[in-house]
Amino acid sequence: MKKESTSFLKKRSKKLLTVGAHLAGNVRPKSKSFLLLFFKKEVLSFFCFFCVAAAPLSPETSDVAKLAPLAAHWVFVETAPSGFTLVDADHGKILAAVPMEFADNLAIAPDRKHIYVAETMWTERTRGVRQDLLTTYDAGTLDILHETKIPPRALAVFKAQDLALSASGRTAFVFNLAPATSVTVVDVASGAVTGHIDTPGCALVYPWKDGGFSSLCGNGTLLNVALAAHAAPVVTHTKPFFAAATDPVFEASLVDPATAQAVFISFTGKVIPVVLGPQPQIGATWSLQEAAGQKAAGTGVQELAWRPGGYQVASWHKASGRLFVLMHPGTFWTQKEPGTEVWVFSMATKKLIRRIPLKVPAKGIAVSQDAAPLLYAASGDGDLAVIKADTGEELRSVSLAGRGPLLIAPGL
Amino acid sequence: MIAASLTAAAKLPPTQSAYLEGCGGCHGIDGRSYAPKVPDIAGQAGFYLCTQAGRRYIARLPNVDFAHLDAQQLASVMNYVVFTLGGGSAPAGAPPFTAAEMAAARAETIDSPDLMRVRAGIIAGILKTCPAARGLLAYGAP
Amino acid sequence: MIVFDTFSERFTRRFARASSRRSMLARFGAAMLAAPAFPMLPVARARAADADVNGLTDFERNAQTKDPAKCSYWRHCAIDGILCGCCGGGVHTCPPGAEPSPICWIGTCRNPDDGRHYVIAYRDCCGRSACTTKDPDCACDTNDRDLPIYSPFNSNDILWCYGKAAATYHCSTAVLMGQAS
Repeated sequence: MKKESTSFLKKRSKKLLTVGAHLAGNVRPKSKSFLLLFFKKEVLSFFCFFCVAAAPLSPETSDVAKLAPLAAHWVFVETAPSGFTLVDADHGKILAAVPMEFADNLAIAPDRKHIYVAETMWTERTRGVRQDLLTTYDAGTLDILHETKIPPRALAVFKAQDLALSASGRTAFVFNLAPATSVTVVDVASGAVTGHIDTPGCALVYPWKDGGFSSLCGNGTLLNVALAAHAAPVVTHTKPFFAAATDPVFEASLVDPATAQAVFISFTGKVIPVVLGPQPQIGATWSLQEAAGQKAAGTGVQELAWRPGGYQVASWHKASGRLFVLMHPGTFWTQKEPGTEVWVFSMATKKLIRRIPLKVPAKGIAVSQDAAPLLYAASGDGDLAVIKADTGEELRSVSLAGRGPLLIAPGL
Repeated sequence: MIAASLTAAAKLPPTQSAYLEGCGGCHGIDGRSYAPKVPDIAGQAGFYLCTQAGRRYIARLPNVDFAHLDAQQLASVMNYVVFTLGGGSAPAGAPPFTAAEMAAARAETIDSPDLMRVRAGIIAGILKTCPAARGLLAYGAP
Repeated sequence: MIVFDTFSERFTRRFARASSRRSMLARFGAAMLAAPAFPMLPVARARAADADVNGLTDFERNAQTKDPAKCSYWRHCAIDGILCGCCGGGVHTCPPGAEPSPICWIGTCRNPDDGRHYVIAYRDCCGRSACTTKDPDCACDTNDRDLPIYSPFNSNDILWCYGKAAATYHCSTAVLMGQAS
């Protein structure tokens, strides 16, 4: 009888698993743990049959887990509206979750001791007074250390570039879209809003070292804002370096605040390296397809080619100079199509190193920054693939209740 | 109910079509959307032509200059904004924008970390000449 | 604007919509592996002579004019959201209790019946938490002529909720403004 119910349960769980994989990631762990519980009971009763006199069990007290220092192979996965879920990618385990609502942003301090969340809420859930906060969490306890009231921030989906930290981590930049565009500057140590910079016609934040930031503009330029402690900010524009209306660069282009090196990638697959600063140095453009021995893709709406696409469309491994881009076969205007492959390029030689086919197409990728890097690929639907970045071997897949494709990894 | 002033089945004139596609989402189908968050154009935009500084200001606004239009189309849209949607707010005899003027404006887009302060200064100047322009102060008002 | 609870469905739907292209790709699979670039698709080749369909986007080639509560309805060429018509509203109607945002973005879509382009206002309905439905036809992530948010007037990733109600996204409408020129 018991045996029967076990197999029934197994069947049932299996069914649940299938449904879970398709519909909601959280069904899977639930049914698994239920099964585990059942087995434990079985095993326990089996053992107790033989060993009658075991020591009595000790009573327990409720306590709270603490996190070890943020490790290289940990990654925050946007799982709106439940939170940013922190995943240990080496073991495929959930370690913690930081609360968030849809369109909130998370950033990790360079010293990894704090986590910042830019968040928006209303006093009566979806009515009442709007409140926008930059909230500081202790990275070990996830206790809230500070809340800074900020002006209404931009509400747009899947833009990690809505919130950025300077290289030292002392300054946070929050992008606003009121719908006039501007950037709020916050001194994170004191929690004080220290500046409000209008960025008309320009959006998002690409920080450079500690001197300021750049924003992308609707005329194909960069707006550059140099900040000084006791003087007015100085604003410059580059010359146009991309075609904003016909082949724009992705918002999810890359910047390393420590070196001010940025890499912008256009819808067709043009790569434009730029060293950010008051007078940005715009490097030579190269093509993702040409780097792979193919014809450069154009803007034809019936022109089938391998194209970059998704939301968090690219990542990089800074120490080895490798660029990772989500690619899919498609025509122009498929810029948000999930990637079926990740292409790995050497930024030094501008050559394709490897094509990594994805079991589940992904809308977002990130790469860990250690010597044995992992590539994370998020479906935007709860599936997170953990891939050995050096070989393309998929190590494991983690199923989350997640939706958004944003991935925030330490050191990125 | 949001502005149903468009006529049925008629093909939109090119300038109005360009205004809708590049400006009308925020500024409203007929130049009026939500004054505290977006400046009204209807009955207002022409006041900028009260002063030379005002005229230079609206021609050099980044969201004007970054429109996906050539200089001639952009001048037409600007004239539609100040004279048609502006609904008589432009002072009598104010000359229309030209393609050359808009091309020159594009070469010197406003670069300011405090655009609202620049705007306040421009409006203060306009109010001296055109006191009726007080409606311009509605944008950004608490 | 992307919606909370319909991601899997949308994902499935998106793949279903692209399946004809995908199956064609599969037939070309071997050639693709060997050849660095793509051969021109037979459909594209056949239609290239036809001026009416040449130059159409993937969405435009599959667009229909019969059912506005489906993603493939012609006006939804860049809507990125959940259709209000699936939530108690309609193609230009907010569901009860929601507020049409006074601020929106405006694009153009092609009507396959008359081949004309029309100006479409993508106006979000706001102030209520997101509408949810499991109907895969109701969630739509289409992006013809959609630009990044540094061109906000052409960008569908923004939660276009700027009225008196809270800026919470409920669903999306596609309001016909007139024929584009």
